[in-house]
Amino acid sequence: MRTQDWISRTSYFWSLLIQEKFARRSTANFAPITGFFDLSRYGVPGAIALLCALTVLGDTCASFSGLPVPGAAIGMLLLVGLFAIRGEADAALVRVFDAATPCFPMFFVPAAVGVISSVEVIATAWAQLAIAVIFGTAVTVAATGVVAQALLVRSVEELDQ
Amino acid sequence: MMEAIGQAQNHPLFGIAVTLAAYALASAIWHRLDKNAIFHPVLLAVIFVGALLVATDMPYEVYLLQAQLLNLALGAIIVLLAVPLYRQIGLIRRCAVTILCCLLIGSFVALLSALLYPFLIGDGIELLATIAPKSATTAVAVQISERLGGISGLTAVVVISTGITGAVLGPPILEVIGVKDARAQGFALGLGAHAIGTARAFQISETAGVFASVGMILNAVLTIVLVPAFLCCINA
Repeated sequence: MRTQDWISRTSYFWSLLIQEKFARRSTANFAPITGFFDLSRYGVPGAIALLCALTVLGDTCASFSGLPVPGAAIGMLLLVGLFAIRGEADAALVRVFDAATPCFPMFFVPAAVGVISSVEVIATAWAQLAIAVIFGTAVTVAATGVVAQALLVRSVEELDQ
Repeated sequence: MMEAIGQAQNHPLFGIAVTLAAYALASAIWHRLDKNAIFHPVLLAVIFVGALLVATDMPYEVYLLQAQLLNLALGAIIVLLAVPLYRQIGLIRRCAVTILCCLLIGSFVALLSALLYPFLIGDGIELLATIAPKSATTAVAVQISERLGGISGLTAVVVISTGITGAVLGPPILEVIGVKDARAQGFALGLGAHAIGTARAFQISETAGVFASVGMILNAVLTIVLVPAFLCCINA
């Protein structure tokens, strides 16, 4: 009983000590890696270089493994992993993201213009396409909304209380 | 005169210049029209560029080769989606299980509602792969479709049409079936209608927008796994 009392009274001290030790160790362990990957040092060109490198790496992994997923998705997961190790999103990458977001739709134009060479497919499969787009989207939004209202909202409110 | 036009068309920068100009014009028109989802800049820009290619008899392959830089940037954009994903990771962690449930149900409904009819009438894998990723964000959908043997150009148009449909029809549908909560509305719009739906959700409220981003980004990640797995099952 005495020992427990002592531990609980000094628990604040212990938690500080553990936190301090853990914090020091975790940054010390990753310092050589994260320091090298601290892209804010290299600025926007460094950030773009990393994006391209991760795309190439992902594509290479995807074609070697034969998985039918886009390689860039592997690159994205690696980047999230890197952020998680560093404990924050890289400032230069955030800057690139915020600057590029309004222009994202522009990059879809060359691919989408390809629709002019699939006029025949549209002529034969217009019903499937129209049903998928209009019916499919309406059903998806409605079903997700109902489920989200039933589950998500309640769990967020429980956590808030 | 025709010779001069031909010369200009063969310039390696022609495709990029045309795309940027068409998009700039389209987005100026869109801003004039109060950002109405029906006149989404990509749709207008595709009409402008397509009309130019048809009018000047320029093959699509030549244009695509010239605009390859923009097309290749789609990969880098997917990698860059790590930034919004990491931004929302606190929210995702806080209610991971429920978000996962909503996400799984929503993604499955999106996939089934799109593929059920073409599958029943016996369409080939080409059309299925073209339609299947339609609720994911465009960059992801185009790459999935390409890898699975779909028609990526058609996928891009289907995805953008999906976004526009979701942004226009989504809010009134949610209102009618009694989904009044902004968080649920946002999540549904983001999951079903990706970036265009997310932009619409931000017009409802900031909260709706944040939940829409979560829905969009997680659905993109899940679609990457779900669509190839699903099509493999159908094939087998």
